[in-house]
Amino acid sequence: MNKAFLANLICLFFVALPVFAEPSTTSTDRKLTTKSWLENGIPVIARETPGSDIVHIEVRFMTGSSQLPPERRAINILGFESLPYSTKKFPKDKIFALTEKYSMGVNCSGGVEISSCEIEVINDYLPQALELIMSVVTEPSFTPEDVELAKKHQIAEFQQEMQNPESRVNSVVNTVFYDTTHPYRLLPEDGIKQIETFNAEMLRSYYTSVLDATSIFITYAGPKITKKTLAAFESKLGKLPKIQRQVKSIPSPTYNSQNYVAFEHREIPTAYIRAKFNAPSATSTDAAAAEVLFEILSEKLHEEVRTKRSLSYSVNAATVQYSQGIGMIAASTSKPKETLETIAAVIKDLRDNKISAEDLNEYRNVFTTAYYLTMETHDQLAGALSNAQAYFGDASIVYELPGRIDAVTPADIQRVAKDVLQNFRVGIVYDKEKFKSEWIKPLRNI
Amino acid sequence: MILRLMLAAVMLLTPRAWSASEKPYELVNATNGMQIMAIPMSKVPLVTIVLVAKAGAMTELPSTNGLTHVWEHMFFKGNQRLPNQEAFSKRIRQLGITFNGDTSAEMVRYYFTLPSKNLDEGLQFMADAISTPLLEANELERERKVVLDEYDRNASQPGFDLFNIERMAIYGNQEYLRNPLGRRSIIEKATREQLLQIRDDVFVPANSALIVAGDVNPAKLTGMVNKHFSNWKTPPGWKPLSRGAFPAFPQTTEVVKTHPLAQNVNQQITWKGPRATVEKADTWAFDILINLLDHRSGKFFKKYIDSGLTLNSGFSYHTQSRAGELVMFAMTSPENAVKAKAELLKEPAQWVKEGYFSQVQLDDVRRKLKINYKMELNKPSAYAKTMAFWWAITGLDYYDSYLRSMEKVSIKDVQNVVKKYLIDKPYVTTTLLSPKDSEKAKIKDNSAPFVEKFLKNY
Repeated sequence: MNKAFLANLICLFFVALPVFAEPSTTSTDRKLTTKSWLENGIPVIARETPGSDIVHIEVRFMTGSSQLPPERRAINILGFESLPYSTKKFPKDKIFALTEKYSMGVNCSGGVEISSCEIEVINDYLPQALELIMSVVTEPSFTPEDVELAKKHQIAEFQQEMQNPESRVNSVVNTVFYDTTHPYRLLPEDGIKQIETFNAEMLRSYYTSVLDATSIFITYAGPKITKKTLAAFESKLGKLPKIQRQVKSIPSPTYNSQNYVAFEHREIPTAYIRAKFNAPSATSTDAAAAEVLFEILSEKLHEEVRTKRSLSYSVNAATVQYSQGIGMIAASTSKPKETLETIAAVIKDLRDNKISAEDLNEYRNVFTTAYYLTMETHDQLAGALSNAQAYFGDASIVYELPGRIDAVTPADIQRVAKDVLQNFRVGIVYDKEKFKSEWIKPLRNI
Repeated sequence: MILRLMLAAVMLLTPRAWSASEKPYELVNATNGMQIMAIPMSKVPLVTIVLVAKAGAMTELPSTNGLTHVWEHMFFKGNQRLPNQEAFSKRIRQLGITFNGDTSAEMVRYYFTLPSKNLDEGLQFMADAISTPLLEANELERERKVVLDEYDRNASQPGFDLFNIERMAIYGNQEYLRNPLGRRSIIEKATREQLLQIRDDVFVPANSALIVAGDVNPAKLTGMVNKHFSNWKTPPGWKPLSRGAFPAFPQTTEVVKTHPLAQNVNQQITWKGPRATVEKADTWAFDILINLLDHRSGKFFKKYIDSGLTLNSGFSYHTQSRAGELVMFAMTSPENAVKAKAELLKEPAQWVKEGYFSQVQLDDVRRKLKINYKMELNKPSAYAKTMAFWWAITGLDYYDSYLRSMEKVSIKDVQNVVKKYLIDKPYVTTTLLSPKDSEKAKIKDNSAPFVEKFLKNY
């Protein structure tokens, strides 16, 4: 057998391997993840995805609407929304032509604590994608025409949020969950009013202030990252100044026992109910226990409210872990009294009784499936790594989650339940003729 | 369970495949006649199992409209091995299953994702649920209330009545065949016997496929499926249900409905479109047209989106086998509503003009379809559901030849289908807006006779 033949055979063998030959596990994931730094200190987290030629790149900004005064919070949303409209190097028509030619989507979004620009592309077109996203992040144009168009789109988005009862009830509960100055509070009505006042110059000035090397990092998911790609990051983002912006700490939303219910009248056949409460933050030592607790709470609510009593089609619980944690229970129902009573009973049970080790293991199984479901695609992988980097300064923490979940005990669950499942603020969107405020009492009396 | 109502944005699924030799799936027949599709993609240690049946509103009667959806809910109740809801839920947790189901006009899907090490048990779980459901009367009573709450959630959306009026205007007395949510009054009275009849009519192996995607070994899968599904059999003499043809598309009809909670102005223009199993080539041309109109260097995008005339607009075709709808949609401010609609109605005549679409744009669209295919393959849990859709709606030949066929579609072909289906053809328009915007836009609510005709006894 000559060497050329052998080489061909080896090539054939590798070509025949399926995409991602080995299923991902936390140990292999870790080996495939690297971290390096640009000259100005911007971290680059790179996750290799063997066998795939898709590339996803995120540039994350450790800033969001929560860092702004109440009357300017929407500028972060509008500013990031406007970024990919046009840049100095790429006028709008060029961006359109490029993104259509290489079928690459570039999106920017301004969040509550973290904002980002992302691009996804096939590896063959990575040079073009790099050039585009670097230009979008470092030299956006903010032309008056673009900003006016972005304003229209953002206002329409807020309006749609107000139309849909499911999203509307979130805004309604936010009026009592956050006081008027809390950094996380931004109601769509306020967002619309603010956006109408912004102009291109204001956006440019705001964006310049957040373009700070000390609060930016890059996450890459795709084929093994090359020196060329790192050089492309270096050439633009590596030149950004270090401003060392002051980051305001976020206070816990406070509970006001005189103002914990908000109601909006709509003549609709089913009530939309949403309760919010304080929960462990992303970095809390109770974060993993809280994740499992919310999985259990959600399953138990489904079982007691939907399966056993048929009170609701949609009932669930979830937690959002920012630098402050938020807990949430949501339900739609035409029997709000009975639904609220049952939700209260489920909560009381979780607070008063320790879950068995066997039950905990079962809930953990479902949680683990959900964990891997959020690691399938390049954008999901990059997103998970970015969140870990943002809150822990170490992206690889994301791979520790299964181990941390395994370490949660029944006592942890009960302790966190007692600590978290209280002081509910409640929002209702429903027909006022069909609802009595006293029905909320069971949640208050926990 | 998620019900694909498609109230506003019509789901557009575009099939993509390269060539027969590069199929990402393997297809075999189980011993009970059901088709088995294996899609090996070992990215994460999970598998997704989808059971799909060619069923939905299209296999219902006026007296059973909405009951296939009720049956879909009952699937997640007790069966012979797991006789009650508690046992069923416990098994779900033991196996680490996340699950759901959906019912549309032409397809019902049940889907689970679970750790790949539990595949064998997961297949048994699925087999028990489909082959030995208990359908107990008390469970039906309980689940009926849940389905009614799902109905009420849909009815809480400002566009609900208009959506129903539009469907009734287009499909006349056959409208129920396009309405998977069904009628509230029928759901309220659903009986166990009706559900058992639906099971025997459509939920049989000969009318179903099992799709398994993710960390799966195709060589072992067939044996595992046969082991668990062999007791589920197609009744002797079973034949696919055939319902009557739809009436002719109505004369041009315009419906405007106000709703106090509507935000912005939402307008839709609907024409009769091709059926994917009959006018195949026409569906390909429309898929190209949709992508050409979305092209951001194109004239449509510049005129309607980049200019700000609309807040969102486009053209869509939802691939279906028995009916086809071509929809132009736009969301606008009240100030631009009249102008946008007038311009949109003139659009098809523009599309057939020389130079409206360019060869460069066509090349971009073809490249984009190929890249989209790669992106789809990147998410096995979703791809399994996508393949279930194509299996049920068009058959896999359509899917397998899709990209090759798209390569052959020319701008001339696109212009031909525009002439065939859109230009000078009747259409139905709907406009949803608030009373305040109605005054501002000078668009008057004319829905009273439609409400009287269609919704009075609904």
